[in-house]
Amino acid sequence: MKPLPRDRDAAIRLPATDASIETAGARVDAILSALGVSRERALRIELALEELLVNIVSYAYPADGPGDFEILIAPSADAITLTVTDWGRPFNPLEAEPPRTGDGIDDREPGGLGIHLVRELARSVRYERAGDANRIAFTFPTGGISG
Amino acid sequence: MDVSISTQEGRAILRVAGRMDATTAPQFERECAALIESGERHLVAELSGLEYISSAGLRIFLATAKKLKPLEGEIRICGMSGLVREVFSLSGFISLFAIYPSLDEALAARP
Repeated sequence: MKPLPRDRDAAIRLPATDASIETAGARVDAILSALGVSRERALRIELALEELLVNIVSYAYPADGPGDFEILIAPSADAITLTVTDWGRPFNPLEAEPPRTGDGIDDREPGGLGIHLVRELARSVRYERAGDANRIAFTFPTGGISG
Repeated sequence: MDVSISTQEGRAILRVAGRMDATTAPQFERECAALIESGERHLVAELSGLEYISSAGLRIFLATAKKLKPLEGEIRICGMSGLVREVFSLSGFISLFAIYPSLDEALAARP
């Protein structure tokens, strides 16, 4: 993989608002493209990121309270890891109950799909509470499309 | 995301292109709601131009299907590929919807 260009900061910190989800997505898209990550792979990484950011914007902070999220992008030889941090209430989304994907239309509820997709698409996902921060790191391979 | 709407063989066709994400999904929801409001009961979402869908988009498909079911309507889906097909599959949504490879097949299929 190409090295990160020096004029691009691989850390993105934004206020936890709906508008920031789109801003963060566009900036990560530009960085992944500069790194030479394939379009197919970049879309999957951006999907995982969107799902995690939607969670943070919806739940991490009180409705009227300010708060930020931060995204760190760390490429290695054959993989890329994104670490998403917020400083809201302790919350491990990986403990959420998985959606019942076998149910019919009447029984299906939309909740839980986002985190389910992150788990299914990423090679690994882990959560830690680090001091007053929630930190989720997820890794995608950057080689072939599978895995 | 771009949504264009047409009618063919008594069905309302929504051709969706680009990205259906947390920002753009409400637009698709409004388009579906407006069609149902105006009396359409048989929708077809043609997704060959869609390259990205997140859970925000899946919610709209589920909500639209739930709205149409008691009205004896349905939303058919065709033209999915790549990540969009994968997301539908991983979510178990493949078995919730009538899914066709192409628009012609979606229109030709019997209810």
